[in-house]
Amino acid sequence: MRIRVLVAVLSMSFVIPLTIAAQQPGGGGGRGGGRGGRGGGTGNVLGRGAPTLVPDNQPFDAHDLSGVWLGNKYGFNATVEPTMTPEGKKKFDAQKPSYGATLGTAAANNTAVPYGRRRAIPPAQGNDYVGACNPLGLVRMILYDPAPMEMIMTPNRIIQRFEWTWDHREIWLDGRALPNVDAYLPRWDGYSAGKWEGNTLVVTTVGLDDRQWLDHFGYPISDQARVEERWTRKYHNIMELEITVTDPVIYTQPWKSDLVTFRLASNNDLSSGTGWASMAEDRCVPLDEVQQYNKLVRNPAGGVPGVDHK
Amino acid sequence: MKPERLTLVLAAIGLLASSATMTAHHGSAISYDMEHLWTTKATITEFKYANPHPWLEFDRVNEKGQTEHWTAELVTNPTFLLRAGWTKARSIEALKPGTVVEVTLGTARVGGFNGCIRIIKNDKGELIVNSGGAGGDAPLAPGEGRGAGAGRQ
Repeated sequence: MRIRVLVAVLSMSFVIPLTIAAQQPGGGGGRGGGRGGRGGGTGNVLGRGAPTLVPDNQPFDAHDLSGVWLGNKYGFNATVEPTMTPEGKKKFDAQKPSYGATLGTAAANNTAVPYGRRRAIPPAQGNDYVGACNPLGLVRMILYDPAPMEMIMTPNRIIQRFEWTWDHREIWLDGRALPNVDAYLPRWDGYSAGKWEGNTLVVTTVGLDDRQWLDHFGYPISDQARVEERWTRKYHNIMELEITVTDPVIYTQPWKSDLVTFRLASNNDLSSGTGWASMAEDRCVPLDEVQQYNKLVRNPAGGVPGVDHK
Repeated sequence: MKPERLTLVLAAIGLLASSATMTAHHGSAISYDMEHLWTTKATITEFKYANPHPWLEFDRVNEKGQTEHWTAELVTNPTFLLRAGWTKARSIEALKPGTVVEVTLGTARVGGFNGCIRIIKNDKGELIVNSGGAGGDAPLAPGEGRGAGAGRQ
């Protein structure tokens, strides 16, 4: 019985919201729905607006980032509105997201929130490519709180696996130079090379497919973008990330993300009531999502004719 | 109560105690008016346990005595439900056709018999197939908690 109670307590601990002291208030960002203003208020289980995430004081190697990690950010930057080039603004205006405050609601008038987070329309009327099971794109995938992300270290590269969309990317550590973007086919996850600066892994990525959005809120990116990630394992159970996007085609100056905090997941996080602890194969499968869900559920709810259920 | 059941109940309490937020993973929650939730008896005709969001089809009798056929999605997804103990078999059993439940939902902003479910209770008043609460930024319903963050959005 004591074991059962322990399991229950662990299950409860899984759902108790955690954050770390370094987390900036207001970092949560507006999320889909009509109320908006959730920037730093209620948080999700893995990060926002909750009790302090305490370092576990277990020994660790700062150059070993392996493990399954749970992030705490749902967008790139919840407070800073980037200045865009005319081309960037045109692309931003053409992208119609479904996250953040709903367009036309009072929450959408809160000018303290970046505009990308207060222009949401129903996905049936928007043009978010994810709704058709296209890849998320690199930065959006990294920021897909709270889906688990695994880092696997090998001698010459790091493999990152992402539960939601079941995607992965490589970070090469063999000293190779980044490719000439114009000579290579752009990729959804780009070409990444990393090196250590002290205890911070600095990853630079180029060659990103310009159809991807930087985050759920429709901020654009071009194939000339250069993305720098700075990963630092602060404690055994806590890792931090900052991202800077330099993209002169879209933004007039480099744009820095909010600080992202990851906590190390336990087997219990990944199994809970089922016993099989692992990342889930959460692919976006058109047979499920496009052929069924969009037609039968999403589109009718968004004012677009659906199909007969029977 | 059997230990296994106690474990699940306590885990469920943990879920309900959470203040986690979830949004529909394709942003679909904004299609619904989740600020005006309402509750109805529902007779299940079909339950689909699939990505990205499980959904219910059900019949309800309106105030005029007419039967309406509704389609309503849950905000959460199967991985969240699994990790909360609501396996496919358990969920389908709890929502098999003909079962009468009480659902609390928001209606699609465009109208029609389309909704987004926040709470499902069985005939004993127990929360079942916990939808994880949270329709985007919609407020919590009385007695409702946010679900665990393992779900995709």
